[in-house]
Amino acid sequence: MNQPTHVQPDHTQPSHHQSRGAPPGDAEPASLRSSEASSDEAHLGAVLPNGSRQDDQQAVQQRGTESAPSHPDRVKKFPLASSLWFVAGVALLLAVLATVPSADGLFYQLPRFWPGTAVALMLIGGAAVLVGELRKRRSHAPASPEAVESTDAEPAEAEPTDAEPADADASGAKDPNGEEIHQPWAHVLIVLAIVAYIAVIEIAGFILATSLLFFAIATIMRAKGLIKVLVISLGVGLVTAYFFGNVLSVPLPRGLGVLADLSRLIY
Amino acid sequence: MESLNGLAEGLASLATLDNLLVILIATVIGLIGGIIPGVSGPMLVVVALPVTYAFDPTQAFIILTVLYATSVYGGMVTAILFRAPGTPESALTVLDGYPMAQQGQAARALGVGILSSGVGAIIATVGLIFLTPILASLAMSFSSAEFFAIALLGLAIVASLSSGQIGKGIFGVGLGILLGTVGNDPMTAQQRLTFDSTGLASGLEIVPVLIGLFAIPEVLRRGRLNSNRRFDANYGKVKVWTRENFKEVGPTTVRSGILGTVIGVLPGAGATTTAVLGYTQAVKFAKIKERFGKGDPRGIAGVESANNAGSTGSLVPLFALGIPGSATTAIMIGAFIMHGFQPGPNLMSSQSTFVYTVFAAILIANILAILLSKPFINGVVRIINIPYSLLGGIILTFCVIGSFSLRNSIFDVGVMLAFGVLGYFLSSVNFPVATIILGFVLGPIAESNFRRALMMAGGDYTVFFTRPITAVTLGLVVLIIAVPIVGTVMRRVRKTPVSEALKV
Repeated sequence: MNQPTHVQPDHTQPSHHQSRGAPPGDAEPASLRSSEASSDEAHLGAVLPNGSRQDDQQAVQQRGTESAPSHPDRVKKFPLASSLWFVAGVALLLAVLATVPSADGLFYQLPRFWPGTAVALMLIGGAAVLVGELRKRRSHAPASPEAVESTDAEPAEAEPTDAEPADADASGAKDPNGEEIHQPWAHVLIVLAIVAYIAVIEIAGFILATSLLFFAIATIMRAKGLIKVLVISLGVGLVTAYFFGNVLSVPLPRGLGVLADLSRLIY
Repeated sequence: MESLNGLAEGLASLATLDNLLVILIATVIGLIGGIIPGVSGPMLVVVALPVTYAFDPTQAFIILTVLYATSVYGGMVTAILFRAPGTPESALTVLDGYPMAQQGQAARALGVGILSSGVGAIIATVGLIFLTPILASLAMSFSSAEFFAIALLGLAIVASLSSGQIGKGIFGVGLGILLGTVGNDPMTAQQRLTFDSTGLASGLEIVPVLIGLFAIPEVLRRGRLNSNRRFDANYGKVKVWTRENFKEVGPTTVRSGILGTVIGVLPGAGATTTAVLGYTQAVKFAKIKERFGKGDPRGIAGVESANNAGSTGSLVPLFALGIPGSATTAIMIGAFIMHGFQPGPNLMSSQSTFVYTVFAAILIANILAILLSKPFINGVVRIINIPYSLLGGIILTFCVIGSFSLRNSIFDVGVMLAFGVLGYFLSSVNFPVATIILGFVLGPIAESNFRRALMMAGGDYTVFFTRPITAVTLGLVVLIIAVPIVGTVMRRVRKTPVSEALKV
């Protein structure tokens, strides 16, 4: 996979560099995995003919380090991941029918009109994804293992499938961008930390809860220097409390008892 | 001319110390944010949005637009030095920037980058100042049917740009529209999709949704990576305004700047789209193409000029029509509503001082950014070596507080978290999240204009075909959706023999 977007100071796969040349006259840029999930618009990608070749080689290389299954009869299995979109559309259709009241009148004046249109778009989109996946599977020779691998590879073609990126997570080696994962459960822990924050903030008050949240996140990400982190955590709690509570006059939760009184010192 | 008068007025009203200070601080934060991988324009804007609530509207918008405009400058630094773009719209700068760095030409690459970013930005700012009033006065003759068509155009464009997966694009738009319907039906005052929850009764707050979809997934993803890595960079003296640079990349830069501005004006196309087109045109118009991908400075110039131009260009439809030109400007619609403005063509006439002051601020900020780029780049090593374990914590803290402070609602923090988790899963399957954002913002615009148009026409559907601008725009919508579908069908048919050949 072309990986132009992340730091690899220890170049373990030097083959990348020579491979990434734009052929003259071919104006399409190479396929990319944007380093940030949240790009300003949609991910863009088109493929150079030799770019995709490298992707296939990449995929074969990566297969070696992962425990991805590659049995040929996988191709015949129903494309589960790709059908999720359509299924989600159906589920939301039911939700709309259930919760939005029906009424009489011109159809565009009904409450169900616009949500219904939205759900229709989701169903169309979901169907397109599913149909696309089915067509792709049919156009590959069923017995060839490379066909299976290229289907599972990350954006190797102009229409990338959303096949399991979780493979990389499970083996703990690299995330889809090729970077090393140091804290495989960090994302789960961060989410839990925020849940805990929501749970305790009314009791603990803003300053304490925020300081604890920051400390938790820094620890999850393995920040160095315990004292330094503690001090910064407290600092973040106090400064943000002052800035939002005092300067911007946001009524932040104060907590109970002693904590409430302390909070009045800051805001 | 109206624009020049307006600009003069705007510059005059900026001549206060606190206005200039606001511009300076926003520029600095934007530059630094762009340089740091993991912090980008949309993220800065969405996290700053709740903070700007306390400022007066002019300063609030100065902050948001300047953050956005200046954040595009810095992305190329780490793209060139470390192959890791600081912002998504600089991703393509890696293609030629990193090879140049490897050949010991990092300083030259950086100089070209600053030059092209600056030129592109200035071209687009001039375009902004002159095109917006023209578009706004054209739009005065628009009625609901036209606005419906334009909103639909924006949705079609963003859906079709989704990395060849138009199915997911359409799905995302649909999901965004559906989320936008939560709350009260504007015409019948019926509750839609609120599940009897008080938190949802007035609809989903846009800011927690955006923070959740944009900022949280990045923190979740980076949280798992090594946060204590140190980067080091050595490069020579960075030279920007040299005759050599002008001769080599001048034409590419100007072409990309104009192209970026024009495309940026289209609803649904912003900095990342224009970046791709900028690279494409750089290659197309080059006589010697062999060096592209191996360290051709025109590759950098094409991208950087276009992405700066595109981001500023996407402000045009926002101020002229009230229709966002990109996902980030869609976020700014939230700011308009927060400050009680009605985005739309009337904005230019009723609030022209406000608008021109913001435009003038963007001009000044871009000039500042060009001047500050070099010293900031020289300090880049110190900037990017802030451990993400601390930076991520700060970002997350701001996200949480920002989501809370809009309605003093913990529920909104929960919304932020829910969308953060959703956003994480979506981005891990390469889903175009921007479609959801634009669906969320453009959906209500499309809906109310559609219904109003029909009501005013007495239920006559031909109103969408007889009004010329509407008909043409809707025709464009059909084309934009149909072409990728046909293209994928034909491409797939053609692909089979080619991919078989390549595989062996």
